[in-house]
Amino acid sequence: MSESLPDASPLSFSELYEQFATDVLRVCYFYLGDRQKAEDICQDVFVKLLTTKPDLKVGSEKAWLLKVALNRCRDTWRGAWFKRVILGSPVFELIPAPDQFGKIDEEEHLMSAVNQLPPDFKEIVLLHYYQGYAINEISEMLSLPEGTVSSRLNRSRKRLETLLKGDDIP
Amino acid sequence: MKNLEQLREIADRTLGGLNATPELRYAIQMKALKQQRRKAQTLVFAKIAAPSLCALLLLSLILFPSGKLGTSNPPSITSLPLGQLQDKGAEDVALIGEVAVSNTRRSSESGIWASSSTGSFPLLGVNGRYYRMIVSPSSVSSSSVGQSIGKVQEYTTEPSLSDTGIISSNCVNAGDDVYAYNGLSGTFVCAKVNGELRLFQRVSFNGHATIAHESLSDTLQLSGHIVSLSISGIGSVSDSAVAEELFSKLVQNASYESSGSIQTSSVLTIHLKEGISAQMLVSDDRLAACGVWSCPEFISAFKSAVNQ
Repeated sequence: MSESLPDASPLSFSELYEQFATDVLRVCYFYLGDRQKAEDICQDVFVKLLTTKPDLKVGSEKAWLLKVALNRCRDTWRGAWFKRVILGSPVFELIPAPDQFGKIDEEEHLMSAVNQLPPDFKEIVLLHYYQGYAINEISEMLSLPEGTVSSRLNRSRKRLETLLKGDDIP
Repeated sequence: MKNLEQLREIADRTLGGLNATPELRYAIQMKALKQQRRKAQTLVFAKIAAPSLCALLLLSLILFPSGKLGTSNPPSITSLPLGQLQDKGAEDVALIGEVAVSNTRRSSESGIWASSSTGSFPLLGVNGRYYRMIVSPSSVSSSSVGQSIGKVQEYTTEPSLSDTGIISSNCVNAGDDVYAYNGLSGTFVCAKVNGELRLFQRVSFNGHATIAHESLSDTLQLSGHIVSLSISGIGSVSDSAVAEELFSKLVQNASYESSGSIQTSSVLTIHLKEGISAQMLVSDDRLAACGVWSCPEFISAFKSAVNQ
C-alpha cells in the first residue's frame, strides 16, 4: 500500500489536466512553433504523469509539468528528425481565439520576436514573463545557477529590443 | 520593455485558439492505459516465463554438457559501427541498408528513399498530405499512372512545404501535374522530376501525418498487392498469402501514437505485385512512415512466421 506524503498534491489527473494542460500546450507551441508537435509533447507529458505517478507536492504540479514539457521540447528541437525535416525555421503563426481576429497586429511582433530567440533564452523568457516564475524557481526547474538564469534573461531582453527595432541580431 | 511585461496577457490573447481539448485528454488516457498494460505483460513474463526458460536451459545444459543443443553454428551478431548509427537521423535510417543485429537470418534490405545533392530530400506536399520520392522505379510506366490530382502550385524550399493548403514541392516544377498511382493511390503519387515520372510514398513531414480520422490502412492502401514482407534484422516472409495476412494484421491492429518518427536502424519493406516497394521504420513494436504506429500483434506474428 502506498502512503501519500503529507504535502502531496491532492489534485486528480482530471483536475491537473483542466488546470494546466492548456498552459503546457501553449508553452510547447510557443517554443516549437509547430502545433502538432506541441500536442504530441503535451500528450507525452500527461501520459508520463499517469504512468510514473510522481510525488508532486502542493503547488509544484505545474512546475513539474512544464519542466517535463520543456525537456521534451529541447529534445525535439535538437533531435535529428525535427532538424532535418523542418530544414529551416518553421513559420510561427498565432492562433487567436475567434473574437480576437484583427486585434493582434502589434502583438504579433512581440510574439514572433520571442519565438525567434535561441531555445536557451526562449525557455527562460517563457517561464518568467509568460508563466510568471521567479528566477530562483526557474533555476530549480532547469537545474541552472540563478546567475545563469538572470544573465540569460538580460541577454534575452537585449535581443528582443534589437528584434523589435527590426535590426538584425549581432 | 513594457510589452514583455504583458507577455502573459498577449500570449493568452494571440494563442487563445489553442486549447487542450477533451479529445487530447482521451488520447492521453488511452495511451497511458496501453503503456500500463504492456508493462504488466512484461512483468508477467519476467515473473513466470523467464524463470521457466532459465530452468529449461539449465536442464538442457545438464543433459547435454557438451553444449550441443541442436544447432551447429552459434548465432552471429553483426552491427554497424556505433558512431555510424548515432550519426544517422531517423529519416535516413532507411538509407543505412543492412541492419544492426541478426542471428541465422540476415536481411539485405536497402533503403528506398531518394536523397538529393542539397541534403533536403525530395518531397511533395498535396493539401496537407506529404510524399517523399523513392529510388525505384527511376521512371514510372505510363500504364501505372492514374488521374491527375492537381498541379504543383509552388516550387519552393522546405519551410514553405508546411503550408498545408496547396500542392507544393521542392523537386517538381510549378505547373506540373501530380498523378495518382493506379490501384495504390492512398500510398503513392507520381510526378515528373527532371523529365522522368517518379514515385513518391506518403510520409510524415513537419508534424503532419494523418488527416482527420485516417487510419494506417488509409495511408498504406496496399492490401491485395503484397508479394512479400521483410524486416531487416528479423527476416522475410515470401509466401504472398502469409504476407497478405500479416499485413492485414498490421493495418487492423495498429494504433496511432504520434505524427513524428522513430530512431531506429530497422525497416519493414513491403514488396508489391507492381514491382515497387513501400517502407516503414521499425523499432520494437512501433512502426513509422506516415505517423508512428504501435502494433505488437504484427511484430509478434511476423517473428513467428519467419521462424516457421
